[in-house]
Amino acid sequence: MPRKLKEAMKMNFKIEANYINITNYPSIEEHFQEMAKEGWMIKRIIMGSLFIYEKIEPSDLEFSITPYEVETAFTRKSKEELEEFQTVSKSVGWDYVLKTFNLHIYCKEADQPAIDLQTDEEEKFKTLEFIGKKQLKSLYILTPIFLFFSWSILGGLFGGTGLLKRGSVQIISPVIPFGIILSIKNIFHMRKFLKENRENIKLGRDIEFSSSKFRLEKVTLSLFLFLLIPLALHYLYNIFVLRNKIMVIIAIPIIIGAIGGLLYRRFVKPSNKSLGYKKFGFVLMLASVSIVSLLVSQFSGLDVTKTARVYLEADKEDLRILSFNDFHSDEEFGDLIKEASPLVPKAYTYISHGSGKERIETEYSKGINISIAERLVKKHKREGRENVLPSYHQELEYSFEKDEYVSQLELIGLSKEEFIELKDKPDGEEKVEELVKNKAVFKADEELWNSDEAYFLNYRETKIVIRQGEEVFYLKGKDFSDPEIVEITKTILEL
Amino acid sequence: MAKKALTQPMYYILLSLKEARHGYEIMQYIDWLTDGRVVVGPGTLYSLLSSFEEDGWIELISRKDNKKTYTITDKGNKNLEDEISRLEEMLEDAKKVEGGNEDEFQNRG
Repeated sequence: MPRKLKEAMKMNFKIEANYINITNYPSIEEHFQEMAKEGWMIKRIIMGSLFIYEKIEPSDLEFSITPYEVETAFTRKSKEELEEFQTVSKSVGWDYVLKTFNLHIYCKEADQPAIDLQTDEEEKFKTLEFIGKKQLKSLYILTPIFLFFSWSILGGLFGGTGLLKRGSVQIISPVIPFGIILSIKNIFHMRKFLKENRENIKLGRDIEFSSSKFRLEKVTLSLFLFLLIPLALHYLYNIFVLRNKIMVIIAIPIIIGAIGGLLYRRFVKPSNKSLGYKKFGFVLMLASVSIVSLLVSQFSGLDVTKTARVYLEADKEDLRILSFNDFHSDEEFGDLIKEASPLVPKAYTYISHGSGKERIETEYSKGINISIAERLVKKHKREGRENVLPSYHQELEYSFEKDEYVSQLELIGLSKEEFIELKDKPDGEEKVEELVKNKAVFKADEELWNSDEAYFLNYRETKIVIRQGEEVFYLKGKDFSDPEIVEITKTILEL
Repeated sequence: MAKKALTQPMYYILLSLKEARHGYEIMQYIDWLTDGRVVVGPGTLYSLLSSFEEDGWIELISRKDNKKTYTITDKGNKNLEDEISRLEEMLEDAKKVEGGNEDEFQNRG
């Protein structure tokens, strides 16, 4: 291979999964020194765990990492303040390399004299304690929130069916178990570090740092950073390829919030104004971002719906959907949402709007395997049972209170005779509810529908779920017990 | 309750700010004042300057060429004077011991 090509192919950078925080940074100083001897200079640290090095000539360098609080909830050192610190450090022999959170990294030639950046153990511990307590406060607040959401997400993925189509959740889910353990571990680790060193300082001893390998932290943070790529791709695919307007509407407040936060962090936090002013600024920023997000989402919700129809004709061609046009009626307009996730790679919902408030809904999902498709059917069945009572809650309550049957209850399968039979029984209300739920969901003729599973999801048979292999159709809005409707539906949906 | 003692860097930084100075000048002054006996590194210095400013013991009087110049406030002066008094009392106690006051202690009331 030609020499020039060989040289061009040599990597000028290296990426390493590692971990730095206030409890272990002296060992990282040694690590940087070893890396410099091998010809690698630390260039960037991402989220305290992804270390990026650039190629240099092997050098005998000394590193010094110093805790220096840069940012709190409401304040932030300005660029000028940081530059002053760097200038003064340089005048005593240290060159600035980079900073990661509240740790600043400096280096010098090993044989060059320099004044230590931190010259007092007690003051050093005060700074570490201040930073450590802040981190603990964040962990105390975030850990229960994280535990709650993790429980919901993992339960939804494995036990329930609600998250089968949520691609973002599925992509992030591998990191959740590690994250739970890590959050709790970090609380205990930081508390122990602060407690032991408070004692050390009191007794005039040096600070003891952790010699842990932090394997769990390295794995978790590296995995999280790695998963951000498919997560970003998932969002971009849904927004730009599938033109999923729900994703756009969700993204708007996130983007506005991020811009608001960045502006606050860039201009308000480092300013010379008082702390009270900055807190007021924070509240104002939050309020502004919330209002703007609401307004833009409202506007976008209407506008995107209208512009999405421009794409509908082209998009509809390869979709198996029902519309009013298929049933000798006129469709006023249609709404189409496409989505994709690792467990359900193809899914869309089409709502055909007729005159007045009439609608026909087609929800199509294709699972990665039959097991996922079966879980989707179970989800629809469960929703069918759960949704029937809230819709007729007032009529049922009235009937029991007034001891008078309301005729609308026929629509959910409760006859007058059944009501009279059950109403006076000790647990009559519960029995009625159970009866209504059982009548809401029942088997449809699988042979008629050429399907592996078919269930009506309401007594009036205007909602049905059908599974063929890995494909699931949820249909709503027509009388699916009518033979003519059935035939048209089967033809259109290619069942 | 006795006030908390100042650490060595805290003491010397406050002392140096009886005149308006910026960060590097503070370090140089302390080095000169103590004949190199006390060294305050930039990490220690700037952490303390931040907390002094937050507590109102020093105030920023100018910001020029990326250098912030500070001076001690009345509150800072009070704390410094309290510390000096404390150190003087400690010195007096040391002198008493060196002067030999064990008998006085043994024969006390």
